[in-house]
Amino acid sequence: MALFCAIGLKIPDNEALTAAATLRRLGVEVGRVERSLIGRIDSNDAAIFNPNKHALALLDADEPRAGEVWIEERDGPADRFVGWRLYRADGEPADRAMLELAAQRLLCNPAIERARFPQ
Amino acid sequence: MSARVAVLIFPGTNSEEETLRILRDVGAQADLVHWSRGDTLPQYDAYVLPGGFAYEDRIRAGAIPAHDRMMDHVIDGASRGKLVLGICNGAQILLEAGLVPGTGPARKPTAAFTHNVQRHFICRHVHVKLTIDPSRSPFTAAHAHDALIPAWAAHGQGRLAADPAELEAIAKGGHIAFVYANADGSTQGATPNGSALGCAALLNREGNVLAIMPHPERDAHNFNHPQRRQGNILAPSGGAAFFRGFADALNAG
Amino acid sequence: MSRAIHLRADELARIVATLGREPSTVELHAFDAQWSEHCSYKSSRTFLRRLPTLSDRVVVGVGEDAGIVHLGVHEGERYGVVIAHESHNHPSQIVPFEGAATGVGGIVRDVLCMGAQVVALADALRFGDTSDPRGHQRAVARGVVDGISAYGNAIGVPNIAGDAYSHAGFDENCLVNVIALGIVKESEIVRSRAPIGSAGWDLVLVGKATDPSGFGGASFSSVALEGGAEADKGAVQVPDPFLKNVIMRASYRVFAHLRERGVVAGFKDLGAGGIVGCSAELCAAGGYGATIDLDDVNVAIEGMAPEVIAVGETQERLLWVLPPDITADVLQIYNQEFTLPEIAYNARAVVIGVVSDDKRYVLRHGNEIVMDVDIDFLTGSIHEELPYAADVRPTSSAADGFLTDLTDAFDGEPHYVRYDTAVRGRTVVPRGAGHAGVLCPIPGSRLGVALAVAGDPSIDDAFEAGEYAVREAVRQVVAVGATPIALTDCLNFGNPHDPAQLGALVRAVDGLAAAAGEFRLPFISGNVSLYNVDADGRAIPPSPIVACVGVIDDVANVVYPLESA
Repeated sequence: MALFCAIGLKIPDNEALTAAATLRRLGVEVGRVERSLIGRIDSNDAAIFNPNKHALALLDADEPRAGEVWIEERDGPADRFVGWRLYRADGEPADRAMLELAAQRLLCNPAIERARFPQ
Repeated sequence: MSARVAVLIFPGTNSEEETLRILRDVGAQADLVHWSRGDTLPQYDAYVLPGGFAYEDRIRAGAIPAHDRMMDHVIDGASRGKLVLGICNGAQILLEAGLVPGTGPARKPTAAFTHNVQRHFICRHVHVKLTIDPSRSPFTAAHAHDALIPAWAAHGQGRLAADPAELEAIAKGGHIAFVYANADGSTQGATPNGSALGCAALLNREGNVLAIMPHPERDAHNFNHPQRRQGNILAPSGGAAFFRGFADALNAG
Repeated sequence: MSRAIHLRADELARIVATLGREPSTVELHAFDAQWSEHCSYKSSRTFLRRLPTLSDRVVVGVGEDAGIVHLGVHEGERYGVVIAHESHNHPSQIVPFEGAATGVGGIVRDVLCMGAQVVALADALRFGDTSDPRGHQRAVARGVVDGISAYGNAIGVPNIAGDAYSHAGFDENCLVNVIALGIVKESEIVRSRAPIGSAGWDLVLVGKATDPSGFGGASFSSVALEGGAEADKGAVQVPDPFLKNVIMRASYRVFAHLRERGVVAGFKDLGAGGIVGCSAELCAAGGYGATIDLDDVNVAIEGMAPEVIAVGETQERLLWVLPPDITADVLQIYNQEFTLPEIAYNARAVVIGVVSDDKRYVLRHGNEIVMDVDIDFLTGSIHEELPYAADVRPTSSAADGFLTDLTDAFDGEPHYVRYDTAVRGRTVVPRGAGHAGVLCPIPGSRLGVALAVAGDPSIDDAFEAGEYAVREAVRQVVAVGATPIALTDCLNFGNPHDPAQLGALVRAVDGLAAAAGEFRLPFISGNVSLYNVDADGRAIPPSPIVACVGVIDDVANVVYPLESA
């Protein structure tokens, strides 16, 4: 059975830390940034899950949640995304404007990627 | 006094030694400039970004180094006509920084060297063929028309991709400097990674910024290739020609 | 977090008797890690003594993290080739990508810590039947190759030699043997021991922030894989070749700085047994003890139990023994010049303890002493005299079905096209082009180094398998025009408590020794991997795997194979 889920890191995520620092330098005033791999996972993919390293969350829907932007490769595998959760400095989830700015300035290269925002 | 070229090292760069060596072997005055010494970059007359995995390809290959403070100096220098060469990951950084093809606004990428069509890393000996008029760029001025240069393709993300309108602008604007070719100069079946238009290297409009995906510096001495074993085994040859053109352009001022 | 302790009752009794008390939790985990087969070769050490290990070219023989053999002279300087050979079999079967990648990471550290530039990699792989595209064995094969590729390519070290076999006998126990080569000036070798006169010197930990992943790795590798394998995924470590890339370059800078200052330091990589395994061996080898404060260790997560900090096998870490007046310089290089803390969370160089002139090994945590034992008791050789069958009939059922062409499992191409074979620009004969890989590693010098790997699992007589592995590795080096100068070996066998399976290992050692004796070549590095048995207790095909390193005085004389039709 294939489930739509997000796999993130339980140990410090250097990619997310670098994204946060770079976004701030580019004028996007983020606080915390979290990153996860999103897609349909089935039992064949179990081997990639290391319980000391990964945290897995099942998703209700195949759309970004509030404060989240999903980046998808134009030519890549279907239904696979990199999900970025952005929080403002005050800890609240980023609004759409901040997500769009972050995508435009760093997280999405429109030549090869598409960004999907929360409804 | 000859021009000085800086070979930039970001965290994760891995081809800096052989890039420095070939530049010096062909007569360029070259230094390694480490990421904690980026403030020395304005003193240099040209910049080379070697291969590797700068910042671990975090977010996208080249995305983080494109916004690094070292790149501020490179972008500034490029706008003033300094020569800038990017090899493999260095090429990806130049595309993410919008310097190449340079068809969009500053620091906005309009194309990318992205995942190979086979979706895995490939390492193959290749040739690249010059497809622009040599006079178009100081990098290529010393080459013959259709010059053929040996190199190693070694990348997981070497495929040129962009939206169709941009690819057309790239082709029409003469931005494709080298394409993949076979040893005999033909191009049929030569592209190893699905790169659009067989593109192996991109040039900006002014001709001073070149982004090449394969590594000529890895087949740059007689000992690197079974068919060039005559003469001094340690002498530069093969891919060295690519760097010789660059060094000559630098030293001519 | 608790992990099963694999110490036996008699080993526990010995500990209690020697300490004069019950061991603490930290001490229990430390002995568990240190006395496991992986760390202490307890059941194989006796037999390894049968291997020849000397020649007049050997500079550093077995016993250190890597072996060093004399290569040649260039501009008045004597250069050595550094070589290390290890297996990472059990972790690769469980989590193939990370298991294989961390195997490469470990072998690179073994070469780096001798003060050498790391210049080449090789890998010998044995997979199960990969013919089913959806089968577990194919997933293991793909994961392993991807892991080796990701690690070697990122650190920028070319893969120039190796082989691969596929056979159902490896279905439940893949083999991942990795070899790393380095080049060092013999005058600049750094030893893996606290130097003479280093009492009171600083112990400086460098690298990744210690985290809970990988806790239990050493004893995990020494236990046959059972149904509980799911839980042990956590024992497989997390590789970080990006961080390793930066640590390598920073370390090269530190080597140069220590040379300029005329300092002789000690340097050792962390592997099995984590901080305890490394620091105890480093100090004991110099005749010293150590006192370490676990609160000083850079950690990824707060609140980790002291035994996890002490024995966990977080990757990408090394340990220096430095005179206190040079410590600040070294910290500056790693932390400021190479910005370790800025590129990976809490990565850094940090002082964690001191070399002591008594023979005690002491750990502190939260103002308490959590470990205090005699260092020689902790690190001393654990001996296990197990019975073995001297007359061993081949136990594997089929001498057929061994494939060397794995292209079906790799989209129709050799698996090694995924390995960078030309990075550094010094490759003369790349992977796949000849019988051995060849480098011209020293700029300005015509000296060449050749590397080949061999071992045929279809030879079901273990003695003949050992002989063949040596002879074939030697043949491959000779075939490219090089002169063999040293050997390494990895013995991949079954359960040492099964006399027939231990007997096979002993026979293989005798075969290695016989062939090496014919050629008068020394073994200068090696490794043993035991407990490679399936759920029914059957061992893998006998798998002694040998690497041979050779020298070419002038790379102009390299012999390329004839072009095949």
